[in-house]
Amino acid sequence: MGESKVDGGYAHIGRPLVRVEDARHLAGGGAFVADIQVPGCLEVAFCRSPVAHGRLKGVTLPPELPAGTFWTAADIAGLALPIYCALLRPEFNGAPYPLLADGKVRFAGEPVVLALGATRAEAEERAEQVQLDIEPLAAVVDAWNEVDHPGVPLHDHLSSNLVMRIGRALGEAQAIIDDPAARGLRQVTRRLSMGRVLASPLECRGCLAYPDPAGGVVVHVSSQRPHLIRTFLAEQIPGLTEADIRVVVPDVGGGFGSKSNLYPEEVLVTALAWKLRRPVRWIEDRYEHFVASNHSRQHEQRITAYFDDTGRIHALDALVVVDAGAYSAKTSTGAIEANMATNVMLGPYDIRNYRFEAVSIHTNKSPLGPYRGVGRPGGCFAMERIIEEVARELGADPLDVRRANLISPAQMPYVSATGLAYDSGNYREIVDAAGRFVAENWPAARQADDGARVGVGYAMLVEQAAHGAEEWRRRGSPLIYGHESARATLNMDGTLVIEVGTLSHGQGHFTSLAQIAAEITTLPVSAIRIRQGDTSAAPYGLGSVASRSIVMAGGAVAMACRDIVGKARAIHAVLHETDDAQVEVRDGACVSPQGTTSFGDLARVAYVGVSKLPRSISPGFSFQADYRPSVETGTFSYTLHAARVSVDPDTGFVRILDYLVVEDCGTVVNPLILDGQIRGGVAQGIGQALYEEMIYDSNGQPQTVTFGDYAVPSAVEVPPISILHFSTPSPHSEFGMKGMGEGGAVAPPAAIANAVRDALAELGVDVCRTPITPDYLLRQLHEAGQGGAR
Amino acid sequence: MKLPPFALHVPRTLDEALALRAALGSDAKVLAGGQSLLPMMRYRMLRPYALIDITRVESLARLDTAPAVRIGAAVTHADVERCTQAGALFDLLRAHAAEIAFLPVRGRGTVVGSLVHADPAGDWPLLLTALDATVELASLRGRRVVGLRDFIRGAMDSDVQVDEIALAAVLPERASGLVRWGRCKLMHRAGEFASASALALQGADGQWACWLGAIDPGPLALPATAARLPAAGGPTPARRDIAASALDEILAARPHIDPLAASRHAQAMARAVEQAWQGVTA
Amino acid sequence: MNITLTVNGRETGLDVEPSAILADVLREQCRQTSVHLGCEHGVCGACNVIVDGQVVRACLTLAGSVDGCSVTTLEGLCDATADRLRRAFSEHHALQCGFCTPGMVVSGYDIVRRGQLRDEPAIRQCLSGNICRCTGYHGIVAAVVEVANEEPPITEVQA
Repeated sequence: MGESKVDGGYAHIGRPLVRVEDARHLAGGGAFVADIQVPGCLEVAFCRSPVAHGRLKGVTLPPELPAGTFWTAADIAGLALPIYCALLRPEFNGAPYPLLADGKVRFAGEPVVLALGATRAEAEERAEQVQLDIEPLAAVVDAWNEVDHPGVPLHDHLSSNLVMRIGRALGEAQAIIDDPAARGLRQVTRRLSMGRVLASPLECRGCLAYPDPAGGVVVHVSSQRPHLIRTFLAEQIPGLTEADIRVVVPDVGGGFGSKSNLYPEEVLVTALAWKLRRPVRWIEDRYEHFVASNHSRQHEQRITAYFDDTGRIHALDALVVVDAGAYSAKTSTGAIEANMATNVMLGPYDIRNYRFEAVSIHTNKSPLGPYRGVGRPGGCFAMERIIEEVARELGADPLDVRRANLISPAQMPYVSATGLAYDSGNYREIVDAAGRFVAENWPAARQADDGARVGVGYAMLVEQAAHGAEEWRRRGSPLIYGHESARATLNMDGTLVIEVGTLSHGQGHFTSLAQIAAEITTLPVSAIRIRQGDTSAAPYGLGSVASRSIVMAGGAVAMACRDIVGKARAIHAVLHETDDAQVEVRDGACVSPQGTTSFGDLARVAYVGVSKLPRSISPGFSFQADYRPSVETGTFSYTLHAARVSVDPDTGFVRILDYLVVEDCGTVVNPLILDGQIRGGVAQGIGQALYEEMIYDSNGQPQTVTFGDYAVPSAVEVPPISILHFSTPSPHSEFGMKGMGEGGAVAPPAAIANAVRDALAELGVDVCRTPITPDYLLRQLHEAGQGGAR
Repeated sequence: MKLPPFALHVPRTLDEALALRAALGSDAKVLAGGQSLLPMMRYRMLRPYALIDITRVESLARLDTAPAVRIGAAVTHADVERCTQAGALFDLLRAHAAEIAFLPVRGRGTVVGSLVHADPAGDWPLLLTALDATVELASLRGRRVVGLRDFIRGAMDSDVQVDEIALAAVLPERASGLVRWGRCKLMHRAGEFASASALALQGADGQWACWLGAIDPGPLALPATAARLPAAGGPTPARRDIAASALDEILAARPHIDPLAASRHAQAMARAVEQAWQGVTA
Repeated sequence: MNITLTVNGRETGLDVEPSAILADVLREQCRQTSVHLGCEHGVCGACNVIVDGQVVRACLTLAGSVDGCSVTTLEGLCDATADRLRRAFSEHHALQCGFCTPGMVVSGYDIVRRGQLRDEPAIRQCLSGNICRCTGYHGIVAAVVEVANEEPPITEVQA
């Protein structure tokens, strides 16, 4: 019943429909938070800490401005509370995250004083006149060094800067590590570094709050999680309850994780709008975004693989130290990356003996937050670099070494050594496809015409997505993101409105979720409206993060649509005095030998024709569905990337000549959108691999605060990308879908590093860090005695 | 960051502009394209009380090409990029202009503004210094002409008096005799400032000139490297040899330079010579 | 100061601060909110507009500097070329979040209109002045290349 199939496929799922949301943006009708004008709005600017670490002894405000122009920690005490977020694990060291610096400043750019003005320029002028009396303290900027040589604790109640340290030795790892020779095993070790990056969506953060004439406040915020933000705002502002707050998320110009946590600025704006009974707005500028939005992915790693002559890896030993910044942001905390990197590192490989240590360190930098992949790029970098070093040690083909270690389809479902329950997958299939493609399409030459050296590298990963309650509980998350809700309402004109709790910020949910709804209801996509972001209309949802939306929201949409169809059939059966078994659903109508009734007409009965309804059928035509996956360990898409690069050993410049993605994310709803997610993710991964680094000097001063310094890739830096698709549906999700939005960004640092390593291998040059800048390569070449600088 | 408040003057004649400049003195900066000045003001590196926008003074918007090239103060990079004159010199000017930043920035940014700004990372100081340009300046006190090699005194330091406006950059007539040229601007990411930038020019007399940009405190000539390049045709000098010669000269001229940077400059020089040898002429 | 701008074909008298930036004036006083601010230092291109036929960064242009000029934003691109470009953007999935899109379409429109660039590497190079963080540029480049290589429409209607 319900779902139709055409030519063995689906009618709507799998179709590369042009997105319904495009026309509005192309006409200039995008409405982002900065586009919303409210008369009489006060603008916010911050006086931010100029130093990375220090005791805040005093604040001197310019005297001649009206009271209420400036707000300090003392002024907001009682009005709004410091943020506090901790994992429910005994090893976690929590610390409060003040909204405005209180007694100490802990990163350059931390908000200290909030200034109001009639315009942003005026607010900035006022903020610039504030004088801060700060007694500087030594800045903690080197997380790796901090582990064994601790510096000044950032948080006075903690004895060190350790956020969290967990580790385990699984299987026979310890025995192997203690004496590999006893088993005839070889070993290879690498010390790896990944530079700090940030998601840098093109739209910076922003929050506009104003008193709701009906009471309470309305909050427009550029955020990925509307309902959670509402809950958190109520928690942070004692005078406000959730019933008083309406969050309406407008268009969001990219998030990639950096707009998922709660930020102090958002709490302050909301609290002031409520207290002052005035609209208040903060539109972040790019400088603020660089110094004070969440940063990500700064890893120091030491990885050792123990292997035999066939390339089989018997054990892996991984130490991951992550630079977590000054505070644990809510909800990811400072521990999210190290914990996840070590948890997912084993990837598609059948490795049972694994010792890991995940260390997260507070430093005087902007707090850590999730960025597309979170700990996965770090985990993938470690595993995929070391597996190619194993291949190099053996003189073996790196794809053969991977083949020797892959989990086989016969082993599915497979529970990894770290407890990840892979649902389905044929990893060998994509390795073989990649090998064939590269052999058939990429030139084999190792030297380019201009003397540059050419190399090929690979990276493979498994992407857990749409994990449910049990997985979050296991991680010690204080909040469980185990479900998703949708409310579907059928109108009398045959249109279907579906309110969802996720938050599309470029992923095309307005189209893909409509395709799912169309598949089940048989209504045309044009008759379906997906709505999101308004907490007074959408049922409580957990937003769009962690590649959860298509499975979770798609599941909820599917459930709600089945309820819609069920009621339609029931009303039709009653109207035509027939039974359900006689009723078919086609083209948005119920059809039986007695006649055809459109969904619209069926809705009409339920709204304004209930005299025709027996008591057993309730009036109205709206259903809320709350989807909780039956298997809560998540879906597992997987992908293998290959990069062919040329490296100029005289300049250190790397050019990507060819790039391949082979991927399997189960059942695909919209192939256009799928490819777009892959390409966008790869571009970001290329940025991390070659171009982007958020640099702090030894005093904790941010050095890269413009797009001139922090170089996100342009169209020139992104090469042509070939994509091969496979489909191994998930046995657990609606239609067999799997989340996949992050994978594209996870593999490129490893694939590109492996390719550069391959290109320069004859010169004895190792590649152990990202970004792989020209200066880095010239230094590596010089150290290998291959020129570079004299 | 938003701009701090300031007064804006938009004169329509040169006389008006000079009178403003004299009256406002150090309280004001001259605004041409603003593509460097406005970001600096946003980041509070500069806080002039007033700006004198010279882009609406018609006489400053002229790009004259004969008998000598005269680039008025309001001529944009895009104006040079789009000029239609034939010949090696204009090919070089177009090629150099076209690699500056991005098209929309070139639509406002000016050649003379780049010289006055004197950022070592900028593009025009290198080329116009190599071509031995002069700068015409004017104030209420009169006019003067300064050689560009003297005009740019150091990084971000040019010889503009507080009451002067730079009117134009002028190339010597002999620049039109340019026979061969090669250039290399090394950029890791499209549109960014050069990490190394080099020019190799051969004049009508057969003599070569080799110059480096993107180096502190300003453009650097490499006469010894240039002297090794033969006047007439012949096999391309080996990249390795040019780079080695250039590196020696750079280290001698800039003993405190970062060796990696020196090496990169030398590589840029070698590539510029290679391009010149491939006969990139009109 | 009082200035006059012809914004998307409509002559508009405006009272602006001397320090007013064209992007802010267009967004706030002229309500053309398609002009987006992504960096305010001239790199990202989200603010690209066309002033007297030249694409410029509205974030690095003073409103007072362009008194008397005509300014075209995405909202004002209404001819057949613009509509063709919009269709190509949609068909090639050239937008995801939509924030870079106005600047991209303005840049793409300028490329097509000038008619000088047709090959992909040159168009890609020209678009390097517009940052997109979502799409990886594939659809954007494909759309502009496609339209740039088509015969111009027989009739162009400037709305």
